[in-house]
Amino acid sequence: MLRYLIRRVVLAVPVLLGITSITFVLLWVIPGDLTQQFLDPKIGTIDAEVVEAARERWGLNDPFVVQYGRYLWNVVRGDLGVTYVTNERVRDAILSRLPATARLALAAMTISTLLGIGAGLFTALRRGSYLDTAGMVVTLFGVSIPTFWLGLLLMWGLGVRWAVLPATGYGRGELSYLVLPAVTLGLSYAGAIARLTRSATLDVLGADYVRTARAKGATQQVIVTRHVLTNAMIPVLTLIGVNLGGLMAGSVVVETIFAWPGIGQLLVDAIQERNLFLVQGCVLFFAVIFTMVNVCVDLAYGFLDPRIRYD
Amino acid sequence: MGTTAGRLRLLVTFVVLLASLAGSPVSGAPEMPRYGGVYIKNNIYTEPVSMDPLFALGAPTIMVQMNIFDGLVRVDPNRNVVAPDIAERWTHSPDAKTFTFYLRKGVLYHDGTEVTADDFKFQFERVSTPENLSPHLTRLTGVVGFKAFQEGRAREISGITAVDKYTLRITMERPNLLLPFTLTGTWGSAVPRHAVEKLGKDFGIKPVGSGPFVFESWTRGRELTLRRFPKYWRKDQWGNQLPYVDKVVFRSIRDMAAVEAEIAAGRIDSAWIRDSAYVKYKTHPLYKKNLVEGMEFYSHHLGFNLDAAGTPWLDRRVRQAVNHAIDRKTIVEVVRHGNSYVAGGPIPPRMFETEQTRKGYEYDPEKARRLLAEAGYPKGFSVKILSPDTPNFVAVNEAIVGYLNEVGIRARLEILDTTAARVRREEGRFEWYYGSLGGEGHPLIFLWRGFHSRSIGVPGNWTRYRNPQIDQLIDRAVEARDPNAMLRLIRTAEDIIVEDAPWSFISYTKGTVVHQPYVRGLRATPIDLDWQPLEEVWLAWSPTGR
Repeated sequence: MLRYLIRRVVLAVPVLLGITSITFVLLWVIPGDLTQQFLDPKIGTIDAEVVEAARERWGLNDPFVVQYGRYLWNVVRGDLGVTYVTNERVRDAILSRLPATARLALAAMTISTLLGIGAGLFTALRRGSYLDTAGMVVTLFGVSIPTFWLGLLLMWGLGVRWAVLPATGYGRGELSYLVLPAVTLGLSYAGAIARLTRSATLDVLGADYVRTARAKGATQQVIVTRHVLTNAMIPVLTLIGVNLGGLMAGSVVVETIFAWPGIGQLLVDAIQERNLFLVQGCVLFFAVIFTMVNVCVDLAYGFLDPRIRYD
Repeated sequence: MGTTAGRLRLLVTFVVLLASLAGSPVSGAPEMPRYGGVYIKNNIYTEPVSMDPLFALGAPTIMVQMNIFDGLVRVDPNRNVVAPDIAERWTHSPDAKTFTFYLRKGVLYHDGTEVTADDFKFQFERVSTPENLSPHLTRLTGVVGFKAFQEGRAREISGITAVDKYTLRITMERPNLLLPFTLTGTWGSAVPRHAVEKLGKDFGIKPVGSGPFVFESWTRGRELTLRRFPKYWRKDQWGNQLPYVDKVVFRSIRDMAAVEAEIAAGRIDSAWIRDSAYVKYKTHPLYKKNLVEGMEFYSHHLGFNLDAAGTPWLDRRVRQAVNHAIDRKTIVEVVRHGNSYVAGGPIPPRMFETEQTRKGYEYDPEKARRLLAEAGYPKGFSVKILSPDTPNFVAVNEAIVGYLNEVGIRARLEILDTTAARVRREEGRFEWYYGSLGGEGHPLIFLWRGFHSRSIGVPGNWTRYRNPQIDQLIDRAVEARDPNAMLRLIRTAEDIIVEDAPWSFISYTKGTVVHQPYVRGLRATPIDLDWQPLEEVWLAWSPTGR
């Protein structure tokens, strides 16, 4: 297992390098650089001389290879760079937003997992009934409804019309502020989990070992918890793992709607400002999270299914 | 039973009426300000960059800095003129080269030390130091000794002198009546040298100013809080100590629908609003009475690339035809729902003290066709318009394409993200563009940016307009020694530009701020309605739950 883990970590290096290179090239290709921030249409400078001085200072006039090489060298040494104008370290900027993003992602994952697996099991065990059909229609809505629309709907209903929860913001970290963004994000993922759980459960319910267990007189509860759940969970776990990575990285829309001070919002600002190091830092961070989650999911298979070995 | 219910309804109506009267002034009498409360303002754009005036960069930053710091002078909150700030008065020599600013005595920083003329000299030299890389690095170009200082040949800017503790003298190489206007930005604020030297880069997150509010906290991405400075020097018209509110909280909500939700929930006291919400608030039974609207200094226009050799629009008649072809009034009223003003020329009229408007080109498609035919294009021509992807820009462009088609000009849109469109515009890689020029406070600076041949590219002359007569008029105006002479030269230049039509003049930006009914003291501030000096804002009654 250790060998497997080392191999996965080594394999992650070219993946991360590839992602960094693609991001760097994309940011290089699109028009505009960080000095556009100096040319703020409200108040900034209108002087080409100042822009040129900034470009020179930040090394933006250097050839692509030099800039990229310098960036990679710094990353290897654990330095993600600074946010130019205010000289804030990119690492610090990301870490300061990490708690908010992690809270939101974990809460949303909990909601989507509980709802998704619950609904999937419930409908699978009542296959062909009206409840099954209704459940599948509801989950279809869950998969199809755009997050921004659902978010606004919940915000207007629970945050304004009935005013039982704060509509936006982070407050001082109170749970009430977390509910709306987490439910919005969670519901959008719950539909897919429910549908996958249902189909995986139906597959397992038709398997020989489940029939054998029934023949041996096992109760429905034992069959579901011991046989069905553990076996049906392998594909579901993969989806949840991928979702967690997506939740960490993809909460940009929800963070913007609910003014949630996470990494997604930081990334959007950085892209608008063409803040190269900050965009690179955020993308690299998301890539590392995705890779780590995938490794963890792969390792978790072994616990769910003893037949899986990592030699 | 019915009678009891009726009496009850009557009683409730009476109580509500009394309650509403309690918050209103007696007819004719001025409402006296009330102290206390927490005022929560939204910042729709992005995060502030820094609280250090060295980095006075962008609207979200300026709107906070201007409430922590004071400068020598500032733009009057009600009209576009230079007003006293820490300098209670200033004079200039007859040759308009030497300016003397007389500072108020006893103006204190938030740490209790006194503001002196030396502090301004320190800040001006700090901003001008190349190593500090302030966006305002070249603002003081033209001050005697500025160049030597920047090139490292002098340790100070010789033209900036603290004559004594309360007198600052600035000497220019050439006459420059624009200097006081230049100094209105927050980059020129008073900063205490001891605090800057002690805190270094941390001054941007622990600022010490002499403005109406003391910096309290800033959690990036969430909110920034200021608290009342009890020893602030400014008083209101009745002699009351300013500011009125105990605290100001700037929240960062970028999504307009979310801002609307928070206003409806009463958790935001005021917010600058986008087009998408304008009609809603303009017709809202409560909020239509609680809107502050005013002209912001941005001029929206269609720009022609005058470096594009052999193109039809090098002929002035074609450019005039485009101006006649577009119904700006309908665009403003229908496409922008009234959330802008019809443009008659390049300069937003509110920039002038007189605020005199210009009629401009009338909508006349027949005349447009005639001019096109005279120029040799009776069947029109094809053209591509570069536009940023901002929704209201795109909507206006779609209307413009329709109007142009009516006179035979087959226009296509090329929509890019804002930054990419800006870069293409600056580099001249377009046929026509749609954009806005602005952000400056003075009409002369505006003209210089948009139409002087030395401003081609970054500063704002994106059309590559070259007219020696305009260059000369602007240069003469910059060195004018009499404000009236300067104004006359500006007006003459503007007349020529309108006639020459390097732009098709479309509209001027309207800024709109919605606020809760208990908020008082918000004004239609020049330049940008989100730049509110908050010392005179007060809350007529406490919002529920706060």
